[in-house]
Amino acid sequence: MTETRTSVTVTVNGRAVEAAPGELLIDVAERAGTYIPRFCYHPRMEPVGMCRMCLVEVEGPRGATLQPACYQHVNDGMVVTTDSPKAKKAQEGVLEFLLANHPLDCPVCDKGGECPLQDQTLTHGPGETRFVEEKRHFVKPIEIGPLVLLDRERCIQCARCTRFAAEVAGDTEIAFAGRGDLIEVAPSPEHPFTSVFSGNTVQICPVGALTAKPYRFAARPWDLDQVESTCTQCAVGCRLAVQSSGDRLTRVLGVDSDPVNHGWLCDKGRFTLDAVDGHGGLSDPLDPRARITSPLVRRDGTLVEATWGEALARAAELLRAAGEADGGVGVIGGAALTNESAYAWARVAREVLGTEHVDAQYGDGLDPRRVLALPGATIDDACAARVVLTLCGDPREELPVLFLRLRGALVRPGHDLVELAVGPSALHPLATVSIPVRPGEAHRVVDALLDEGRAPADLALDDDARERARRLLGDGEGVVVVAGRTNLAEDPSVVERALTRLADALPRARFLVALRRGNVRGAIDAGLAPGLRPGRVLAAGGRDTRAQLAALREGVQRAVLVLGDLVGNVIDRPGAEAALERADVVVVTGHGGATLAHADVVLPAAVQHERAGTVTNLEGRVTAVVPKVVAPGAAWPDVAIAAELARALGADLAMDSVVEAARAYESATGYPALSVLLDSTSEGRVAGSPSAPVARRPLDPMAFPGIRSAEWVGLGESAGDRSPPPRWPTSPRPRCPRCPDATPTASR
Amino acid sequence: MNRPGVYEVEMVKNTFRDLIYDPAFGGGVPGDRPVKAFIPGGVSAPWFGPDQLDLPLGQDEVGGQGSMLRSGSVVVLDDTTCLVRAAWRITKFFSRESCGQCTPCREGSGWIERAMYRLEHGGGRVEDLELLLDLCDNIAPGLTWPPQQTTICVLGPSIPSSVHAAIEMFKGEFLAHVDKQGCPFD
Repeated sequence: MTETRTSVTVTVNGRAVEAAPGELLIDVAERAGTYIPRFCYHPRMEPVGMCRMCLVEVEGPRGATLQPACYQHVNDGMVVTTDSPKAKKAQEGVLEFLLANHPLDCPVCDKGGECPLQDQTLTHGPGETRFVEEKRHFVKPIEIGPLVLLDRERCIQCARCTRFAAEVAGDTEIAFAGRGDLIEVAPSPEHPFTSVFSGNTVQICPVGALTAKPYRFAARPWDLDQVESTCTQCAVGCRLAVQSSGDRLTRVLGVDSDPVNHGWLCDKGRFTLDAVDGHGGLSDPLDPRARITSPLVRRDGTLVEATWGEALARAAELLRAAGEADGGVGVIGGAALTNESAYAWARVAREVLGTEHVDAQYGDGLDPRRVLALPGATIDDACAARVVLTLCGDPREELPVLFLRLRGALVRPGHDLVELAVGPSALHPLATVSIPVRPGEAHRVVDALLDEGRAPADLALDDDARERARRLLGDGEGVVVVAGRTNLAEDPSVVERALTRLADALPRARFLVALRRGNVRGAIDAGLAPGLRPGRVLAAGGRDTRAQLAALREGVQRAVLVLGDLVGNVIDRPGAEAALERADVVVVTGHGGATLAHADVVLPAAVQHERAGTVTNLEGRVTAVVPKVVAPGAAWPDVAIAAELARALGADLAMDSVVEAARAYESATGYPALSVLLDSTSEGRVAGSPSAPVARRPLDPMAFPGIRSAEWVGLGESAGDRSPPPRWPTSPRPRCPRCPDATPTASR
Repeated sequence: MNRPGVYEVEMVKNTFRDLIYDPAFGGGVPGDRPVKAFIPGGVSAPWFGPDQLDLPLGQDEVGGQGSMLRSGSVVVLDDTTCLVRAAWRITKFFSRESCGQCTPCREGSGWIERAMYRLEHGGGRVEDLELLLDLCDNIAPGLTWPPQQTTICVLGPSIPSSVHAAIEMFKGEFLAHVDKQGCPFD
């Protein structure tokens, strides 16, 4: 029997280092404090050893040879020298080669100041070029997609972008074309680079070859100030760095959170900064892109600006009057708020307005009393699962980074996907078994899948697929069900019944409930759900959004407090408009929208990147959101609006700050809030899970590509002849047969 | 060659001189011009001079002298040949052959090719010789035999062979290109 080693010893520059067998040398050395320069290596992608920047000397049977540290798995007794004259010369040689065809247009390059090529040239490279020939030229830049521009002259062919597309996102829209020193990143001739993950290629590009349109020429990195926060565009809760120049948001970068996003973001999360400044100051309150910057009160049929005092008094008057009748008032919305704000509104509803009719979901989710009671799974659990069963919408559309994580697991051996295919899904090509499900039949298909005996003929269930799915699912051991609303036209009870059956038949399976709206899980936990008090304590009754809209139409309910844009988000828009038309409507929102056409009072709220608090992602992980800029005009954070409205209604929530709100929420629900709020760079905590200590990482998203940032380098020596170089004869360059005159291969 | 072609020879028994001059094989150099250099085994092999003509055709024998027999394609360069041009053409071939994956081969082959072109066509500088050798060293560290490499595959160390050999064996011809600012054979 061979002994399996759990640890090996490697000697790096004379120092012994412990490592796990098979670890990459570049990581082992870095952990031991020896930084090896690199370009192509990215810790979240497979190593390729292409750029050759990380060459180090490794002792071997034929003496010391140069090996790329990113491609070398360590083994016991390995002796490595990273700073020998031979290794240094190889590294400097590679850098000089990389710079030979690099345009050195750093003064006009967006990457200047945070550029790994610039930084590593200063630390590891020669100070002067020996290259006197003409560099290669391309038309620059070319638009390869709606958000990304490519400058092929700056490209150093590290393949990070093409590898991200192929390996992480599964996209085929960019790839290498050509060969030799004319090799170039080329967009697909048929499809522009419209991947919802395109922004990641810009972030991991180690030079300025890929730039994002929204940030081009918008700022210089040394002018930017940043905070670490959480994305609230969907329920995945990706960690990100929000950067601003002064009080102007300029850029969002992904931060590597091991349990959540691995540094990746979707383009929706990365490029929605326009929404925060109202697309440059749009002012029509019915335009969902506009920001509301002042309280508004309807007078003689039109919304006019008012003071906070007037607006709060009017809102209180309407809500109090409606509340006098039993069930006369309710609250809809709030899935985009922080936990503290949602908790404040839940208290306003229950304690001040005395109503149980609250629902953060716009009728597009599932009943939290049923689905959140199922045994829960984290994203990591789903990625480690032997079998993933999906009964949800297309995760790439609804929860994009969850798709990336699931895809990353499912492409590896030992992971199977059983798909209850309710529609086209980007996960479909990875499915081991795909069982088609027609709208309204999910519960019947699940029953037929799990029942003994023949499946009902009308379901057209394939016997072989059924048998393979049953074998894979077993008793649910190692199975994680990703469950979400599959279809907005069918009744949510279809999925809820299917999930209940799965939970009964697969007692060991766990469920990752993929409700998709920003902080919907947090809003439900905080008590913005019918029949669930803060902390998900079951309570009697309460109308959900659909029931509230029906009650409003029937006149049973007279007033509604809307948190967000109801009309713009609800499925039955005419039904919602008819309901609001009859009702007294108080809207608390940061943005305009169709709801405001029916509003009697509008209270302007701060939006993401303007407010502090915590949010809870779909797996129950609580992380902090941190304000970076000041809310425009008279907009307030929701916690303050809720406290003031309560005051206008004659109550005191005793929550005049986010810290007070977090403390009250934490003690009322038992969910973590204050500790997370006060440590905004942590990975967050999942309630009920043991909280493992997480090594604090410096917030340096540009270093996340695995390349050390500029802080470490000093200016290199520069010497020599400064006279202009003579013009040399240059050899006729071979041309790409597809573009003989070096015109752009794609220009749209 | 008077009789260029493909010949089957017995290993070790025959020498390069046999292969080049024997009427059964190459049949000698046209016009009986003297051999200036020859490439023993394909263009990725370091060059040999006339003093190595009596070397037997054997892997070990050729390997011991710092080159290789490998593809078995012997190229003979007579005294009418510009060695700078020959080395440039070979480098150009490799620069086109490079797949472009790894940096030293992708950029190094193109850079060496362009510097060689400049030497051959005027614009050469004395310091280019040192530069070329150093670029070669950055692809095949130490310029040893058998070669080491900074590249992924062995196409990398194939690039410096001809340039290194040409500079080592015919430095004067390079300097003549620099002096004349063009090719003395033109």
